Amino acid sequence: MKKTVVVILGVLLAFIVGAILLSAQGYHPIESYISMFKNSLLTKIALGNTLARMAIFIMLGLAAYFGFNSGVSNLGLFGQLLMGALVATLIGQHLNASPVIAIPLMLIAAAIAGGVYSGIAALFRLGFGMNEFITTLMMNFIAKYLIAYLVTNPMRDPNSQWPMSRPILQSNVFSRIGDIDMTVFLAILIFIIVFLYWNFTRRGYEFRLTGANNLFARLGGCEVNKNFFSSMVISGVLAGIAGAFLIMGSTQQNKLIPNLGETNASDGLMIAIISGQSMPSVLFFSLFFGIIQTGSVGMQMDTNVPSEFTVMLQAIMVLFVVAFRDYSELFINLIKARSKSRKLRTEDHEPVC
Amino acid sequence: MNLFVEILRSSLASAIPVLLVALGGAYSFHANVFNIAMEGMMLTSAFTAVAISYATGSWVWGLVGGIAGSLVITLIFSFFILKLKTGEFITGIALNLFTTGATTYLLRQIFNVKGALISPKIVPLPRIDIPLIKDIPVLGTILSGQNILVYISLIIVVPLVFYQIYRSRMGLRLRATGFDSRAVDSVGIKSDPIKFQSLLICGLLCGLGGTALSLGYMSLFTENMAAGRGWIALAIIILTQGQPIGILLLSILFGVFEGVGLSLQNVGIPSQFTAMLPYISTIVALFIFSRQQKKKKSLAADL
Repeated sequence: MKKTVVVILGVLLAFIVGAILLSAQGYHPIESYISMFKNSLLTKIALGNTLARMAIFIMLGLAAYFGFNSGVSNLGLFGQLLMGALVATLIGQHLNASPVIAIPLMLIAAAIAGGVYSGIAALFRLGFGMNEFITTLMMNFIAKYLIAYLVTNPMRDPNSQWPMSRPILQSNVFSRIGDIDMTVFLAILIFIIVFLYWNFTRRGYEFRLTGANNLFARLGGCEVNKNFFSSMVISGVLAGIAGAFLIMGSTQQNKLIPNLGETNASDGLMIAIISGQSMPSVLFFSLFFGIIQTGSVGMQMDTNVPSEFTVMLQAIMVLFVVAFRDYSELFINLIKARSKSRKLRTEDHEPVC
Repeated sequence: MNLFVEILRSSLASAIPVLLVALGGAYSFHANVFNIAMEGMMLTSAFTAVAISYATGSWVWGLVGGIAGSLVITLIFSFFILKLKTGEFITGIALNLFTTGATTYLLRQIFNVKGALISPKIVPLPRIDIPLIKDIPVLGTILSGQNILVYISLIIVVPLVFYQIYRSRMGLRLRATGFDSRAVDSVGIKSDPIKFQSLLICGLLCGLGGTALSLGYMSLFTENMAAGRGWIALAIIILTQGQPIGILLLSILFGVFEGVGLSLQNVGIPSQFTAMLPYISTIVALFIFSRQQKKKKSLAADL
């Protein structure tokens, strides 16, 4: 409860700081915020876009959350996402089968690709003690340039002016229910599965334990190395599925483009950082980030505020939440300690004379 | 032969930003502060240096602006981890994300461009011809005519950092703080100010590094321009255990890889693959380092 208050306070403050920044630059802050929420929630199409964004954020947020809270610093979401997207595109372009077969196949292949890519970094760490946050980060750049190479050379669509791949077959794109993309339901389903796994299985308990105190977990008999490997792979799998969503979602472009998913991966990290140790928050902030990002495009048209403003707003939010969350504990402990010492002073050490 | 000289020449220029940032990181490494915000500090200073050089038309102010930009991020980072006692890792990541967002937004807001700012109004760091060395055939082409920060960092910064960390009182306290901050506190030296000092110096050097990147090695600003250099610097620090001379050698090695990558494009290898080279070589370097560590450990176990 206390933590929820802290987080909400952080978000509110970020909005206030954002408003100050906006008005300092001569925009009308309240109008801009209203436009932001109006353009992401009030029309059916906008709501559909918001939810589709949310689906991708849920996957990436979960991926980062899973890593952070089991003691794994997986900063390679971007690379894993790209690998998933690449594999989904390759299959999606060629596999002309019934969607009932093709779509699950693409998802599973993308998940495996993401998992393998993060698994490599995990093996580097376990076998050779190489810090996983550096290797995963370096692998991001390798994946990024690999995709850049593929879309400019072998996979390039000869009919397009810009470097991009050919789109996947239309039958392999997710369908919609009403205006809501299938990825949304799938993401929520996966969220529920991961939630149950995390909270109610032995392995999930071991993950949480390792994240909280590695030494304690090891002394308690957890196979720390094995868990490290699995949680890294699971994190990569989730990111890989996010990559598949970016290719197969009906609101997406359905092809590989050079800057695919570049900001999404860092959004996922931010969501996981804000969520701290509460998994339901991932769901909430995925929706929230979906709202402000979808709304920012409309806001740019309505009020001329550049849509990049949201990137900064999100980052300010993260900083405030981190500051509040860690400091509030310190602050409360400090006050407790003071009142305790005051009490002790008045009770035990009354002046002698 | 000519190509070879050209590679070495551009290697030196591209090594300097990483060198400066890694030297800065050495301070926080020795103070046992896990500073992964270096990427963000570098990016910010690259942006402010270009912005101020563009606005004032003077590289001196650009340099000052670059340092100031990096110091702002350093102050935020220090305030968070030293006063608010937030986690270093999370704070660092959050700050890196913040600087990416902020520079992208400001680029759009101030200059009204997306992606990259390239303009003749950006005044780069001056290039200096060294009188005598200039005339030596190969060495002269490599060493002479580089930008001013190349000489400053090689001649002044590296020896100074070495002296300060290993030979001065401040360096002793710094390393003691990194070794056990409670021990330092117990003898009456406050460890937090020492950590703060080390972070400030780190911020200063990251500011120089960012400026060397955007006004020295190149003369432009692109979104997310640091492109992992802060992280490569971190890898270098881990590999060398924060020793300035080792940092110097590895940074130049990094520069050579980048230079070789650029020249391989002429041979017909796609530029995307050559751009991967620094990142792959960082992973390989970490790999070799860890093998050696393992060997040392097993040798120790045999004894």
